Amino acid sequence: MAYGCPTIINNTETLAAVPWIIANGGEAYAKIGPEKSPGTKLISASGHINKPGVYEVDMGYPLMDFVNNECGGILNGGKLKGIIPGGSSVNILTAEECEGLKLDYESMRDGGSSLGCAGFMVLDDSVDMIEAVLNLSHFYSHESCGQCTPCREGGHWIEKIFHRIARGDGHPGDLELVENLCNQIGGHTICAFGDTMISPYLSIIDKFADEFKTRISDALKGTQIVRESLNFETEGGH
Amino acid sequence: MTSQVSETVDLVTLTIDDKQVRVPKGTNLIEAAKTVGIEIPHYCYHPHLSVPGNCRMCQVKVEGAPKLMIGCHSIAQNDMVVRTHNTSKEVDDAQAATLEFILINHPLDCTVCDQAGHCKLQDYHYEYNARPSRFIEDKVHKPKAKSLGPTVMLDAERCIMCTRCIRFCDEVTGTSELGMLNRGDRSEITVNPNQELDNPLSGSVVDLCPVGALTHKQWRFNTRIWFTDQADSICPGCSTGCNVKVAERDGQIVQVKARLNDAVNKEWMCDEGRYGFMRFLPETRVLGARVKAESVKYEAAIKEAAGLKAKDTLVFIASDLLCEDYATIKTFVDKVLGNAEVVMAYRSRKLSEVEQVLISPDYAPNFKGAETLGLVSGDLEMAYDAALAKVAANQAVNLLIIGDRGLLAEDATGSVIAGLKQAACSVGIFTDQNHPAASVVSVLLGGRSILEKSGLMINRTGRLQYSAAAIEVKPGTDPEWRVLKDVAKSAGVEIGSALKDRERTLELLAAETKFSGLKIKDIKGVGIAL
Repeated sequence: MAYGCPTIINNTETLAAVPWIIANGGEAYAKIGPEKSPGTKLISASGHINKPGVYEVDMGYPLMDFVNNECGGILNGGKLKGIIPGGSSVNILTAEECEGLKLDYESMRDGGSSLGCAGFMVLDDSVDMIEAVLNLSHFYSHESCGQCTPCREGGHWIEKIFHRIARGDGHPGDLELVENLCNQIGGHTICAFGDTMISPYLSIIDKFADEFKTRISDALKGTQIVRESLNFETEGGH
Repeated sequence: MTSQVSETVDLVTLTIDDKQVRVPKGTNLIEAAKTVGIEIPHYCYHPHLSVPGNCRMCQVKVEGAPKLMIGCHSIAQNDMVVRTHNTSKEVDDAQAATLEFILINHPLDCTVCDQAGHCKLQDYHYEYNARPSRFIEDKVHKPKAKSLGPTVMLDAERCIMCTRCIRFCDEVTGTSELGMLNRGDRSEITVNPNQELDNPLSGSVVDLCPVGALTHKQWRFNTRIWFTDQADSICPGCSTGCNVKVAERDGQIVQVKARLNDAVNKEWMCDEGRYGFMRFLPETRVLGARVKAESVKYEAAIKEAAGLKAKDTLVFIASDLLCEDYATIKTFVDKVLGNAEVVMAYRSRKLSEVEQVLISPDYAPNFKGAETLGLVSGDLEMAYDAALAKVAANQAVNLLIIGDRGLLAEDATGSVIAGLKQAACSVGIFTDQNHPAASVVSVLLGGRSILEKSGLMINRTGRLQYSAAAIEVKPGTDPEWRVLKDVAKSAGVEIGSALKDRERTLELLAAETKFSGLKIKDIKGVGIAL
């Protein structure tokens, strides 16, 4: 890329599809998968599955077939809790919501999430959703470029609230506050980072509300919370 | 933006808060709203810097747009319907949210912060938020009281990361000393390694900073702004005529801020002018009159000075007198003196590229005023040098020096002083007792500093501007024009003049054809191009 000159940027996945299309023709490519989402998709599957890896599947391939066949099912025979199908910036799907969904853009959208970039993360029931969302919020607040006010300040504020809830210091009203802050961030930023950051927070709090509420009410009751904390700094300025 | 719009400028018509607005094509919504008196709050936007759109404070609702738009970056279009916080709850909430976000990590420094009382965070909080904080977490901490260079102190915690300071150094001075370290909410303003913020306009970043993150080292902690009296003045450093706001307390200048003037200085000021403002007000004043080194009554000195009448007189005038003063001097020269030669102590100077952004190649704030009023013309520096040579060659018969800067200290050489001594009658009207010629002239009278006067000045580009006095007059001093009036009277000539600054200005506006039709209120503010 020469500085200041017209430059084309493409995702590697896009470029990888090109040779096959040239060799076999566009029509043949369009015949694969459903009409509105033709072709194949590279799914980067990770998490509590027996065979994590990158798989190329036809668009429209049933999601649970992918999990149980190609991915070899849940690790050590565990129980599915949820899937983040399209990279962390899409809504999480509960195990029930995954039934019947297909790996294409329309089906995922109708199912309340998005195929996105197919960063396919499978969570089993050993996952503490509060720790999970804390991990995600640490990522987003760390990655924020810092230009615009809502994402820069709001991102880390939300992480701090999740941290407080996780370590057993949650207050009633914390979830409503996070929801409110997400709405203050989404739609008010320079770029889509702010919009995408809030999807995991809102969907995880919504779909796994009971876990959060229990943790908060346990905190109020003074119940000891034993936590195998993920080892990274979430407090203070760094 | 002038109120006269030429026919060749395209106008667009839009509605803001149900008010009809007509502005030139290309105007952004913040400026468009200003024309109908609607304030759209903003931090990062500045009319003379690039638009970054990062603070999110200027959000407005534009009908038809899926999200709120930022006013600084949205250009007014025909038939646009815009709503600000005045008529849109969505905008009101978004602005309150922005303020809430800025305040969560902002330190509770108001009690020790110089910006308190003129802080846009305080002002906007009361205006657009005023909701209690919901933040109970730990704040992010950053370096405080970090020196960026000889003039500016940084408090990184107070910074709201609007990047005005960085953009100023990139775009205006081109020196690019400042940058942003880290990212996210660990972002910090910093100066480049092994560099200092030391460009000739460095103090301007403090004016630009909306909060107290950048403060003047010279004036740090010196006063609360609400204890000061503020005057809209013109800097008398050079002929750029930067518009400034001078804060005074107990006779001291405690802060000088640049004022916005699109046609003169944008909103910048040079360090030499800003931090050296007190140099125009000498510590040791000439109080009372002296004749041949002996204290005398004012009237006696005046009588002695009347010895100038009808004689060949060499008149040196300072470049920092007001237009009103120059008009009086012209009348005096014409009616009282005989063959008089008037020169202005004018020195040009070489400027670096950065200095040339704002500073004029002279130290003569109102030379144009003297020229316009017919006192001096041609090559001023050459005329000044020639006059000095005449004095040094003992050829000056009578001398009249008006103002400290009428004879510059560096030009008061041994031969010039000797030449002054041998003159038959030499009259000096000075403010500084320690002026090299003060002890030499036969008649010494105490004048006033430009900072103590209100009146008109004309800058290098021919812009007529009004400067308000920043300091109260020192008792025991007399304004130059009154001295001349009294000398004239003593010589039997009436050159009447009003007593108060304002009346003298009105008198001048009425008398001079070049200023015909102008009123003080037209000139105050941003001045008028003649």
